[in-house]
Amino acid sequence: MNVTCSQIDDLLFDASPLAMETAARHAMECPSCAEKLAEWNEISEVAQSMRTTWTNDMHWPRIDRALREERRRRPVRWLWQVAAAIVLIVGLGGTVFYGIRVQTHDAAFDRDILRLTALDDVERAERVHVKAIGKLERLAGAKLDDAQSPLLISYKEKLMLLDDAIAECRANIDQNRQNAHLRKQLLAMYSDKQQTLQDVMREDNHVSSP
Amino acid sequence: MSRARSLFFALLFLVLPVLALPLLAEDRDDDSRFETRYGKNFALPAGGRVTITHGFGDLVIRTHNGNDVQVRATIRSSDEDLGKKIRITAGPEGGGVSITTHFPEVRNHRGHLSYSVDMTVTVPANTPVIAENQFGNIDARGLGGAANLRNKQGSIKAADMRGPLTLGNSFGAIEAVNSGSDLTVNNANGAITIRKVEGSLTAANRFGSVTVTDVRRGATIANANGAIEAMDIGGTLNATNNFGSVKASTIGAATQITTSNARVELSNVQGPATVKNSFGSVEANNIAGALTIDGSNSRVEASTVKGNVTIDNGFGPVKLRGITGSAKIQNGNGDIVIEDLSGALNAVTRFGAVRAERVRGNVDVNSSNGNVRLTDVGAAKVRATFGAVFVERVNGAIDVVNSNGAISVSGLRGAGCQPVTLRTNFSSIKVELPEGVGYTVNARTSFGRINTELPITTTSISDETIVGTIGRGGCKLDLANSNGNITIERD
Repeated sequence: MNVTCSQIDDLLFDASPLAMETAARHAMECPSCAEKLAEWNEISEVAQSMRTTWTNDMHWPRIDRALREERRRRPVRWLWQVAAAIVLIVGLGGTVFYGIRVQTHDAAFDRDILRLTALDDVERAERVHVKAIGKLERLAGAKLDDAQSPLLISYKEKLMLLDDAIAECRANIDQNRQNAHLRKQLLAMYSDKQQTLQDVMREDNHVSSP
Repeated sequence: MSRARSLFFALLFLVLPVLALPLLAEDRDDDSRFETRYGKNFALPAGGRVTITHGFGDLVIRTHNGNDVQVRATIRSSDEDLGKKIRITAGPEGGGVSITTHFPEVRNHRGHLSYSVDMTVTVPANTPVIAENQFGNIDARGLGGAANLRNKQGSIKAADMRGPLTLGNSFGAIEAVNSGSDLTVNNANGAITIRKVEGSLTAANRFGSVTVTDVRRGATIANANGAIEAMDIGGTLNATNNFGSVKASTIGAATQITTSNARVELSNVQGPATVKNSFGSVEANNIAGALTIDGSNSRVEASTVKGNVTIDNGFGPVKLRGITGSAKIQNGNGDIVIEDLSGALNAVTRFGAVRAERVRGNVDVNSSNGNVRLTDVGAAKVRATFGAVFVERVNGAIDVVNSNGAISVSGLRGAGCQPVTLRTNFSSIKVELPEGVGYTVNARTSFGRINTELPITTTSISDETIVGTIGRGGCKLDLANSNGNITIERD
């Protein structure tokens, strides 16, 4: 087998008897490779001389025992993981179930009795609404005061009816402030009043009596 | 691999509880949330009645096949002490069962105490029920006995009720669906919606709409300032409103509608219809019986009426089309238009035009200040003051008296003699006569001329008078004018 100088490194790294024999044959013809081979052999000899071995009768049995223990320990860890997963799932499921139950219960409660934070929002919105209706009422007031047409008189009657109902609702809210139905009812009546006042503003005052 | 699995489980332990936290995280901004439940059953004597007085919460009424009355309630309060003071008393009373919710008087609480009671009462199927609620809704279903449900500031919903039903409310909607017997509904300020009533219906409202669909027998609906809509009424309909529109469709018998200042729409009535309106339009379509409309200041339109039509209007146009009977129309200040009338027409208007086409019967028109145009009519009689009169294609006698307007007559299509009498002042008279019909002519004018295309055998003639005959004479042609011409032409 003919080799070139560029292949000598690969042969040295291979270090098999055949590779080393081939390298030696090539070195006989190639001075530079012969020098490289000599250096390699020298390093190999030094490395061989630096090699140390320990001989301990307990070493292998100990490794063997450790491996067995490792093998024995493995199923235990797996069981522990499954148990942990079950505990986690059960715990989590329970938490979710409890949470949903609490939330459902709370939602039912919230439908009837408003929370204080929700009440604050409602009352804030209500104040703005009442203020807007007040402005509208002032604008429509003049028209209603000298209402001539039966339609305007009818609107006036409706507004009086609404005001009475709003007052009654408010009186009940004073004693039952967070009651959601009362709040909804009050909102509906304010909206009705707003719509009626807007109708009044649109209406002419000269509709003849039927 | 094992390490990766461990890491995964560790992460699962950490992440999932965090994800589950929001479920547990309640908004605990309230001091206290008290809730307790009430549940009792009571034996109901045969024929006994259930009376419920409730408030501040929803009331649900259901039926079951048993013989007892089951009361279930959920009491909720923002304060435990207050919640515990809310009581429900229930027990035998007056041969039936009485259920009442009692609320304590709340004083000096600065508005932080609140409460609510939701109640469900289940009664035997045919039990009569009287239920009253306030500040909560009523939801009743399937009651077989007579039921009287009253509410205040809350809605009422009644479905599949079999016995006579009375619903009363103020400031809340009422909805009744599938009532098996007579239904009476009263509301003050809330919408009324009724679908399917096997008996008759009486509904009254003041400031809310009334919508009714499918009533087997008659319906009486009264409203003040809200729309009325009634469809598929098997019997008579009597709808009264004041400032709301009325729409009625598919009515099985006589229909009577009264409103003012609103629109009326009426269609598919199997009997006579009477509409009284002022300041609103009236539209009637497909009426099987007579139609009577009394509209003070309304636009009136009617079509496909199989009976006679009578319209008395003040200040609005009247338009009729496809009338099988006769029509009598009186209008103060509005045009009258009639098309396709089988019977006679009698139309009176003071300041409007009259146009009639395809009237088989005789036409009698009295118009003070508007043009009159009659086309394809029977006999025509017109009394006018300041408008022109055009008569075309007439089958009977023609009698037109105008004070200060032109008269034009053409197309005499009747078989045989059609007497013609035309009189006016300060305008012209023009008449087109068919050939072959003999007329006895008496034409006179002052300050005008008489022109004729047809040969007249005169017995007396001057610039302003022609007396004679056309053909053999016999049929009356009487033309009189003052300060205008008379023209006789061949048709």
